[in-house]
Amino acid sequence: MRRLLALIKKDLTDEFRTRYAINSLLLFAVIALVMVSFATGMAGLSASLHAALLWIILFFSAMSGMGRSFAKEQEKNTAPALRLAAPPEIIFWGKLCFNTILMLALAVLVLLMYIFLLNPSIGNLPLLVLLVLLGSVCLAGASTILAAIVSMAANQGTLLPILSLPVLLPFFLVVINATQTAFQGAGFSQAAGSLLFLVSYAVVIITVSLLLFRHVWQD
Amino acid sequence: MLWKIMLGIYILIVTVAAFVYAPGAAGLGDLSRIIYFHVPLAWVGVLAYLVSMLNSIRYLKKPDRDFDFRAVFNAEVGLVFTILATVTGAIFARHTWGVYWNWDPRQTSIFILMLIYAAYFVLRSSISEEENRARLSAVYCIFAFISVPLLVFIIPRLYTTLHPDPIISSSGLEMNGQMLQVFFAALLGFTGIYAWIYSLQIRLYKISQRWEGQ
Amino acid sequence: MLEVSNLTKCYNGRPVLEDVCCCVSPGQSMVVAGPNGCGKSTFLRLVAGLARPTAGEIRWELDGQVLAKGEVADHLGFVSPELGLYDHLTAREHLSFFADLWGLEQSRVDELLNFVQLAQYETLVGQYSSGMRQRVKLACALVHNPEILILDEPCSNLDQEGIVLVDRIIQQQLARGLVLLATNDAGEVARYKEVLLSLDEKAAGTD
Repeated sequence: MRRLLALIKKDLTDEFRTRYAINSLLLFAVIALVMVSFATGMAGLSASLHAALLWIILFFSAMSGMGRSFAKEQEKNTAPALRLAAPPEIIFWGKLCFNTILMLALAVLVLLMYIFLLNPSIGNLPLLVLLVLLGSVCLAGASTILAAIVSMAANQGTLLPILSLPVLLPFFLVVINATQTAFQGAGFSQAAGSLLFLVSYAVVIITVSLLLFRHVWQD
Repeated sequence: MLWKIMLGIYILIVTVAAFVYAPGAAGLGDLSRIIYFHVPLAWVGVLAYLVSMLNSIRYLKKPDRDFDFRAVFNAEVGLVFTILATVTGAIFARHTWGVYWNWDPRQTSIFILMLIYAAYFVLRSSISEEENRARLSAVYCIFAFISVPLLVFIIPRLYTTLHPDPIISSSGLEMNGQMLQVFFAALLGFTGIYAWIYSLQIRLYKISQRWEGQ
Repeated sequence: MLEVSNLTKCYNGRPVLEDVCCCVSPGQSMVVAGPNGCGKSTFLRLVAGLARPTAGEIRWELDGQVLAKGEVADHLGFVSPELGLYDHLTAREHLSFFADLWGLEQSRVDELLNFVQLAQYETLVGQYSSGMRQRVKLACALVHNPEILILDEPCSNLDQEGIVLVDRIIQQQLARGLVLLATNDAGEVARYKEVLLSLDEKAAGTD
């Protein structure tokens, strides 16, 4: 447990001190939002469109952010020391937690700005927030091991979305649909099936990642 | 040699039977004949992926180039069959529902399989070092498989689909005897084609190994 | 104790190391010598468990017990010029990080910082000179008191004081376990070559 916290602390410290990196991530999300807001003009959008746009922006924000922690370890070649100092499972948990924290922060920002810029009519706000938070966990969970794979390959910028989308599609199907109902004002009981799916998805994806990670984390 | 010819004749018979012997299904008429091609194609696409995934698992347990090769060529075969399945499915969609594509969960699941294959090959082409390439693509092959059962089994339970399930499986297969015969025959035939391609690839591989050895 | 038999490593079919054998006992220091590109760093990485051999066997033994693959890292410290550092952490934070990973107390961090003479620097590692970075790497490798120390060109970038420090580290290490050293420097080779592995000849000899 202490090791896990050490890893997370190290990644967070390193990330926050490279202020340009955090800034570029946030700016990317902002630009995507501005683009969408500008392109749709003052037209009132339907709930399904809002759901779709929100998750598109979240997906691309995730893609620009989730690859960072592994990419840096590979670039700076700090990975070997890490390999010697801790077992792969702990490294995975550490990176997963870091990615989840990053994604949650991004998601909250995106959601706030989305509401601010596009002014959707929100039926069930708590449900919406829950979906965004749960969805962020799923996004981080699916992309962490893929980010590790991508960090060892070329074309890293485009490779992560290419690898992630097939894995995330079932998740998106469910979460976009559920988000749409949240905008429309559905109750928690209606969304229960989707919420259950999202939780199971996260559990399955993280479990399989854990099992496979040590094969990725070698030279 | 002999069984290759027999397979060819068998497929010929099945193809003809699909158009002549089996009756058109209720409501869909002649359009339903696509079932004898579309479903076996999709089935082989998934089968090839399973074999590819199994070889990926074997590779991770014991890093033998042989397993990597099998994983790759099964993915190649799978990709071709999956593309054909998607195309035949789209043709069917156009003629029954009016659009080539509408993100119906069953359509989506075959599309995802195609995406997984494509991503697999893009990943492989992005890694220059042989060992890493084999290992990382093996991990991806296994990991990406998670989507497939999710889409094929779970999501259709959550949402209604336009896919012709009601005709086929609300209370078991509701095709009449003749249709069933042709259907299973086609399934068997396409699996035979897959097995034939598989054996060809293995022979090619063994020859190229011997060539390299020299 | 280390025993290497028929170690072979190929990258994309090209052999970098072929049938290398050697044996090192506790209390001994082994020098891996050879011209640039002969595979010294590759050898050290294989022995440390950071890369997998194409063929051959590497056996580590501690107190009579053979170490399993996963256990070797617990007893090993590795220093290499290729190894990176976290440019946005201070030396103290680096050591704290590794100390936490190994489950050690903060006092160990202070001890090591004093030992490598970096205690007074509070700036980020990114601003360090190459000699100071080398000291950080040495300290990080020693955090958990490993029985095995693997040093790839340890004296590169070091001033006279630094070289003395490395010598002290090696002598202390020999009392505790063994040292593997890769170097181009003739002086270092002469000093530590109890066991010499010369990679152009691919056979081990004891002097």
